[in-house]
Order: sequence, then C-alpha cells, then structure tokens
Amino acid sequence: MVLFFAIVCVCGIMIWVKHTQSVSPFLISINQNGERWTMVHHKNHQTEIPAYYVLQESLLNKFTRDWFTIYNDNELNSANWEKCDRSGTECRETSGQSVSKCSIYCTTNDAVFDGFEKVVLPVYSNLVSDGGDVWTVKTINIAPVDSVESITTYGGFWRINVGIHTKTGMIYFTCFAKIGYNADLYPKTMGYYVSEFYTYRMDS
Amino acid sequence: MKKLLLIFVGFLMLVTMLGLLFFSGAIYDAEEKHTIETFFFEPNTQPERRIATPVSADDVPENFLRDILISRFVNEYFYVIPDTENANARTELNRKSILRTNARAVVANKWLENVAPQIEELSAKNAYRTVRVTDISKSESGHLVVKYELKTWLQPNDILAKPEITEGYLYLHVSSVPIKVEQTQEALDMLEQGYDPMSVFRFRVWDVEQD
Repeated sequence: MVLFFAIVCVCGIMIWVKHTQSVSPFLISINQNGERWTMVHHKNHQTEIPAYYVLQESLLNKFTRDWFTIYNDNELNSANWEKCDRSGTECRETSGQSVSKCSIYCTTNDAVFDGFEKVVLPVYSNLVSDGGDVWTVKTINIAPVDSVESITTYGGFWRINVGIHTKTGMIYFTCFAKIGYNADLYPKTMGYYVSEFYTYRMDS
Repeated sequence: MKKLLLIFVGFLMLVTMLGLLFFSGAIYDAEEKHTIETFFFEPNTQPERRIATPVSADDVPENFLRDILISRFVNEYFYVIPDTENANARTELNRKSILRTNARAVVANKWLENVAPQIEELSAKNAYRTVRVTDISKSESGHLVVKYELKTWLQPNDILAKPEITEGYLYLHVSSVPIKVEQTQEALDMLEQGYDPMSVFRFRVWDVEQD
C-alpha cells in the first residue's frame, strides 16, 4: 500500500516537472534614437569577450582621449600632438606616463595622422591661442558597429560616443574607427592600430 | 660485508635514478617554460550597452511598440555610416536584412532604386547621416504618415562643420494585425542565427511612398 502510494507520488512529481517551464527571456537593448537594436542576452547565446576585443577597446579608449584632449599646458599638448620616428623608442616602448610623447602618432597610421594635422590641429591651435581653451573627455562609450562577433583578431569597426568638457560647456562627438593589425609596426599596442578615424560633432 | 656493499650500491643507484629523473624533468620543463608579462589597460565604460529595467514586450503598449518599430525601420531606410562595406552589405539585401524580414519585396525594390545609390555615394565620401522620426500620424486612407529629419555630415573630422538638415515624409502601408512578438521556435532560431531582433516582431511594411 505504501509502495503504491509512493509510486503515485513519483508519477505526479514527474508530470509536474515535465510541465514546468523555465523562463529564458531574450533581452533586447534599444538606444535612445531607436536606431540600434542589440540582443544582449539569451541563455543559449552567451557572449564571450575575447582578449583581442578588450585590447582593441582599450586602444580606442586611449586614442580617442588623446585625440580630443587639449591640456592647459603647451608642453603636454606638443608632446601629445608630436610626430616621432616609428622605429624609435617612443613608438616601441611603453613609458608608463599618462601623457607620452607622440601618443596619437604611435597608435595610428600616417594617413590618419596627416588628416589630424591638416584638419584638426589648426582648430585646436586657434582654440589654445585665442582663449586658452581646455578640453577634457568626460564620457566615452565604445561599442562594435555590428556585433561582438564582427570584431576579429585582425581588427574591427567601432562606434565611439564622446562627451567633452570645454570652457564654453559640454560638446559631443560620434566617431567611427577601424582597427588594423601589424605586429611589426605597433608592438606597443600588441599589433593593433587605428587605421581609419572619423569624427562628427553632434551638438553643432 | 658483501651484503653491506650491495645495499650501498643499491642506495647509490636509487639516488642516481632520482637525480636523473629530476634533471630530465627540468629539461622537459625548460621547453615549456613561460614568463608572464603583465599589461594594464584602461577599462572602457559602457553604460550604453547596459540595459535599464527590462520590460516585457507584452507589457508595452502597442502604440509604443509601433513607434519604435517604425523608427527602427525608417532609420534602416536612410542611415549612413562611413563604411563602404556596410553600404554594400545593405544593398545586397541578404535574408537577415530588415527590408527582407519586415517588408514586402516591393518596398525593398523601391529602396534599392531610390535610396541605396545615395547611401553608397555618401558612405564612399565618409559621410555620416543620422535619422530621427519626429512625428507619426495616420492619414484618412489609413496610411501611416512618418515625418523624419535627416542630419548629414559630409566632411568628417571638421570640428567647425555643421550638418545638412533635411526633413521629409514617408507614407507607410503596414499590416493591420496587432503587433506582437512571434513566439514560435522559428523566431527563436532566427534570433540565435543572428537575425536582427526586429525580425521576430509581427510587423510588416507592405508599401512605401517617399515625399
């Protein structure tokens, strides 16, 4: 009798377990303009962040900060905007200092740096000479343009949103950057460098 | 005395064997010896990638769902980023494209004919274009009238450059069935295969006219 009762109970539990459903939601993240929809989580779709992803992200973080920073000190500005020999120590060894010499030049190619010198630097020089403007990067968001999977060992295409504090208030930029890979020329960043960089001022 | 000598020789052989084992182990290790070099990187702050309070699609009012789906569709219709690969991939209209999953072929064809060439041209010039839906209303004929604003930056890296701003209207004929999330196995498979999350919504554009 006891055995019969136990068997009935076990059968009941089995039916209950079979009908129990676990909740496994798809979480979709949508940005403010509704333009970017990203699936951020599903139990069968766990995104792993590989080392090369973190390396590229870190390089972009540093590069973008260097690109948009105007110091209150002309020496620091000159060091940041300077062009060095690519085979010299500046581009091959880490100095450990927060403002290192030629930091923009050493992490990008000649085409991007030429564009910086021709288009951006004259404006920065005017801002410094006119009123001693100082730019400090306050917020920075970096994400792949397509998906985490679109970033590979050899680079990827990224979108960066930057908020900068200036003397006249906050200004905002959206940037797009392509990362390339050349282990011989860019040992300081483990081979990664910014091969294309486009910035657009959003508050204009 | 002979036994003592044998014990001594045996002990010596044991020590020699252990010594050889130690050395062979050391040689084996030397081949795989690694030194650890530590690097520190500045972390990235990614608040944009973090979701706020999750809301179930069933709990969201249908009008809100309709508006975000239309915003997404209109954005897909016009946006430009400085990447020719992106423009080429979009004009190929692969099966994961929103213009294939959430619109009829006639819509995709009109886009290919009227909008895609401009997108290709702008992305080749490294221009950037954002899209903002400013108003959605319903016409007497039942079409959705979507007012949009396009901001186009033609020159990258120019801090002083101002974007070109244009406004326009899109007349959308959308399916009249209530907007819901497809909860079929097929929809789940699509998401896992990397389709756009919009593709699992029961929302389809039947026709489009641009003004």
